[in-house]
Amino acid sequence: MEIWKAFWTVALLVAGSGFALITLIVILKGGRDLRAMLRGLKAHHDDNRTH
Amino acid sequence: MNFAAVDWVIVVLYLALSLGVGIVGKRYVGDLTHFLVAGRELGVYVGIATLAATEIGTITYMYMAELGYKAGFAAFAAALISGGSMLVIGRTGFIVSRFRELKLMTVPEYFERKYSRGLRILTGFVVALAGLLNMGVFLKIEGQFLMTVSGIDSRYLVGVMTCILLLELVYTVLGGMVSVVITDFMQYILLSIATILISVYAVQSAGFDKIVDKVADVMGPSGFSPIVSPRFGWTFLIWQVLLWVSLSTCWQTTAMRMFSTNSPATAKKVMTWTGVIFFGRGMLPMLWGMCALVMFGTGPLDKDGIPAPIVDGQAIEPIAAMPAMLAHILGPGVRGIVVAGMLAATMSVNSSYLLGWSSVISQDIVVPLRIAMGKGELGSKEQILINRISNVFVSLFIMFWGLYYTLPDAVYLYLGLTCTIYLSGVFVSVIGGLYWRRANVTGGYAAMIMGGVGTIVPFFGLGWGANVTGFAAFGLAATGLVVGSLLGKREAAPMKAAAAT
Repeated sequence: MEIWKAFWTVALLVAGSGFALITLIVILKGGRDLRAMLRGLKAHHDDNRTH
Repeated sequence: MNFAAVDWVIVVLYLALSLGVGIVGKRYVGDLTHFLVAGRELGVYVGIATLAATEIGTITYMYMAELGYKAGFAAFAAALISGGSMLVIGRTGFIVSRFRELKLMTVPEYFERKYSRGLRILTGFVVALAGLLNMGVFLKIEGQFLMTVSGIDSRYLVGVMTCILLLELVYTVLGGMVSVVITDFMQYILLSIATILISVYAVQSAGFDKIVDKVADVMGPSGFSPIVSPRFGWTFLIWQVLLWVSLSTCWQTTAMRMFSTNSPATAKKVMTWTGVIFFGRGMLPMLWGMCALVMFGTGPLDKDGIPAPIVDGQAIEPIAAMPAMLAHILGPGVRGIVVAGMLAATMSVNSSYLLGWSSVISQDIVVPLRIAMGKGELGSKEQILINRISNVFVSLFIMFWGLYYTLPDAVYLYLGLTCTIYLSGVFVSVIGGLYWRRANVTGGYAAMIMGGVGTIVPFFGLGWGANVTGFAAFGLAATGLVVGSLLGKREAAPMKAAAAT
């Protein structure tokens, strides 16, 4: 039981830190991705209209 | 009513912003690929946000917390399996890479490419049925959370949940996947902030040492070891591995994110990094459930020896313990942020699921049936219209199913089983189609039928436990694929070319 307690405590710390860290990265870099997506869609949209 | 004025301001502002941002998406929708798969333009970071937001809802947190309350740290095994499966799939590209190369828009579409139109239509029916049953309980559980934390009178609950559903429906119907991705990004940020805040407050209130001691007192070694826990054991663990590998690759809403990425390499990265998030997606709310056990677990013991939660002198259901805890420990302002975060979680899941199931109804049932009946192919605009109508149908279904159906057991198990109805057959058929040349139409039909029947009959008809049913359903589907393919026509149908769009 003590081994399981230690294992789950470490797993929880890793899970919580990973969750927080990836959230931070997505907040910092996701805006650029979103803009690129919308630019790409607009370009398709304009292409479809002219053809 | 637990809500202060500042809480209302936060929640209303968030809802208004969601609607506004969602409607903006309509401007970018040109053709069907924009509507269903965002023109295949998703990059890594927004891909992570939308995949995580799609599979993290208030219902996720409710059932994970319930599992934590009832099974302690042993429940962490389910979270480890979910994240671990996604990590392995992301690193190897198992199924997801090939799916993305094929430029699919729905999972049943693969069945027409590899097997036959008839099998696509059957798969479409099974997928839609399982998906609607699965989604059907979301509203009720989410409403329970909102009612408990905010203190809204239960008389207004149906009206409030209906309004939220209509809000999601508006931007999903107008902007499809483009609107869903934009709102998912915003919602992911908010729900993550709420997740971190709740975790800090909950552990501070309950105390980590007290959590460990309480679980040990109530459950003994079963509260820590998933192998000795009577709720879990090896059949559960194996079923969970099968379920999570199949969910991560073949569940329509997850797969649609893979289909929407800008390349197979991006699809792999999105799956890998979202796998890391999934560890926290499971463990953190399970921890909240254990905090609730510390704070309220003093009532009469159930058949598994778990004390009922007692809140303000009244016994409540274990699933209601976590929201009751939040109502007690969160102050004004923070409560508003948490409720807005949980609404964000609710709306991101619901909008993605509305789009997912409606796309299967329109693309894999209505459109192919029309072609099979000899009617002409439909253009993009007409297919988008059918999709929009299907969205409305799905919304109406979940509004009514949610009000009348009573769950027989832990929510997690109900959701796992409704997934298994479809995933057992679909996953096995997809693996056969991609990796075994002998897989053919006969095997595909056998897999789908035996997987579906193999879930429904044992659980609902024979009263088998969820673990054994789930495990058996995958086994039956695999048997169906192999035996059916060996007995069927030897030559597999050639893979049909990717669609022009």
